Amino acid sequence: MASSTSRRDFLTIGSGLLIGFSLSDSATAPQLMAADTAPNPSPARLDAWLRIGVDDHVRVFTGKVDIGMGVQTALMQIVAEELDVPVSRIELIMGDTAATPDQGGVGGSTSISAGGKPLRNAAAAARHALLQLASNKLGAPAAQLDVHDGIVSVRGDASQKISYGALVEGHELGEALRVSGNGFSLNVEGSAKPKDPSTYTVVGKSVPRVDLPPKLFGRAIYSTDVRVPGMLHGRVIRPAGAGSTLAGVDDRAAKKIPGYVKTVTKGNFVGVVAENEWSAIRAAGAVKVNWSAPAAAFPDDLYRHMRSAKPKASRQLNNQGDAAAALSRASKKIEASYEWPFQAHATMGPGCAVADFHADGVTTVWTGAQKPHALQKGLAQMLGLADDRVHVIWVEAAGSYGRAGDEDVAADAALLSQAVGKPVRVQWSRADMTAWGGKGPAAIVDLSAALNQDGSIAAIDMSSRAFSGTEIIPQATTAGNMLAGQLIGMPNTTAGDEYVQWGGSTYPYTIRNLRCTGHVLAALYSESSPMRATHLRDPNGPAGTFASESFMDELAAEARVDPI
Amino acid sequence: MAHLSFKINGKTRSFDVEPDCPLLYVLRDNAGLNNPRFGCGLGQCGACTVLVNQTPVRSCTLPASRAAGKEIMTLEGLGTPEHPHPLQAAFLEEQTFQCGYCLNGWVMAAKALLDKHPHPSDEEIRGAFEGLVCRCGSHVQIAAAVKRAAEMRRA
Ligand code: FES
Ligand code: FES
Repeated sequence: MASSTSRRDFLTIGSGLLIGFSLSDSATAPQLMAADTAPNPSPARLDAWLRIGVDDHVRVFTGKVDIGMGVQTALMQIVAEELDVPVSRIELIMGDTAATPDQGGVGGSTSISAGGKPLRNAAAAARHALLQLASNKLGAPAAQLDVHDGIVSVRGDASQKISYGALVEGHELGEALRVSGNGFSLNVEGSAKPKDPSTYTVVGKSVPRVDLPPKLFGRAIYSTDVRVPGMLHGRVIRPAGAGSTLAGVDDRAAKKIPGYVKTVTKGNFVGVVAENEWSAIRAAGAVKVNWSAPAAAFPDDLYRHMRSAKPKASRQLNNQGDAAAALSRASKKIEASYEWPFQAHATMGPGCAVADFHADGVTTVWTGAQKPHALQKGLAQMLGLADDRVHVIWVEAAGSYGRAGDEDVAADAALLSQAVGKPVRVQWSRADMTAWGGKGPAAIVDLSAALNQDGSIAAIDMSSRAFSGTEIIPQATTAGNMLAGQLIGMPNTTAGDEYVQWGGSTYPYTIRNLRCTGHVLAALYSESSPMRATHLRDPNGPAGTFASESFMDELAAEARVDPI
Repeated sequence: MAHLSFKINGKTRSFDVEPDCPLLYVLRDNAGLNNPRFGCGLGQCGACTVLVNQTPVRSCTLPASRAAGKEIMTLEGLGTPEHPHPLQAAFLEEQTFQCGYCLNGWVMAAKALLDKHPHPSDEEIRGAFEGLVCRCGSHVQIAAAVKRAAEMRRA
């Protein structure tokens, strides 16, 4: 992870755009631990987005993060294009609540289309400011200057040149930017216009991924690799089932394990802390915990339950032409039902986070969460701290496909650190992840089609019944949205309704008579549930895609044509 | 607690650890090596793969005492940007992997494979990769990179 090694030292440097800094490969502990607050930087200043060092190095700050899609390389290309510097000279700092503007984290495949905009505009503003400086220095109008690889030269006189690094020495340009939107739509504009895309030389070209060399040479840092001085290791012990309450804890056997520190209980949250990872694993197995019986059994027949349950919301998602009429007069009708189970997101690495709680300072949390600024708020609420007393630092994790656990494990680590007053790393086991991590929602999709004589499609009626994909809401802004928060008694705030928010399952082809209806079912359990559903990439849902594509195959077989 | 010695990436290192502690945690937490990665702890994904006396093993299920005195190689010991192992060069050329969390297992298993079969058949590649998981679906480029590395060694 190219951006992680030096994110520690930028917090101590001044606020100007054009300032020097040193690159150091220091340990992960931030200077901020000693500070009183860690507020979010305002997006309204150019230097919140971009800084240039006297060594020509360009440091770029973004609230976007990379969850395996390679977006960091693409964002760097955008800046390299506008500034006319090589990608290799750019360092991207991502998802740090005290250092990067809040761009809503990542989601919805918008990181380039929306998230790249403010970076492009900030880079254009910086280039403009640099050309003004160069114009003064070189005594030539800005319009007669060229930039190549961060060197500004006078057109027609190559001997007249100066580097960005030399230009910035001793200057500070904190240009004010116009801010619009927020979250995913946050944008800024300065006085300069970005380049005309028809002149692009870097954007649109394939460049090697910047994150791959450190990964292949074994030097990348993932959230699992964060170590801070004095760090202890934690494990969580989850309830016997949804709604089970804690009836008693016996840690006598755990006390005999070398390195055992403490069993922490708070409400129905239980965790153990030990000096090393293996002791924590053994202690978690040795602690005897009594739980009350689960609140309700899982339905014997999930799909029967789903068919008979009264939906909490229903919505006509699409209604073109007259599907009902076309179906009633169809010469041929095909019907099929598709049942899609709950699915574990099964990220390659189970959730892992490190938290360092400070009651009178800044609490720092290192996490792979895909929305660090939202998580900052949720953790602050859970810990009883002001937002600016929580500093969330994103560190790359195993690729994720929705909100399956990185936020939850950060909350676990934060609670344990608060309880023992030391930094705690929590690594979920695979069982923790599979059993209690977020699940892709179960769905039933019923489809009927009317076929014309020639096999072409006259009408399609699609009706889906599904749990909401937002039982874990996309933004971790409240404590009650996280498992640890619910376990300590914070009210569940996850009343989301995926179909209303995102449009739900619709048939993805142009059909003259098309009707799509979505029904959202109430969550199986209201609190502390292992079945909390969160969309499994993508928001429209693999269930709907699976059903409609499978149905297309049925219709093609009926018409004796190739479905592709 | 036992005092165990290992030869890790060519250097002798000793630690006081519980003999039943899986090698993975000794490498990560005592030796400070990040690349044997935790994926399952059950021997089911391969993220924790290291070479013990040249043989790929799942370090998450191997008690440290069973690896004591042996030669252990991790990704950290493979090559450097200045002197990349052909596999590292080939994976870079193929631009393999998305998140890369699984990377360690594939590269270490491929290293053992190429040491044994410098020009592996498709079947040998499949055999060497049995039990390795990539959740992001980088498999096609992984196989291509291994073939490319074999070609580079031939050249
Ligand atoms: S972590 Fe060892 S095989 Fe998965
Ligand atoms: S690249 Fe993400 S798990 Fe393989």
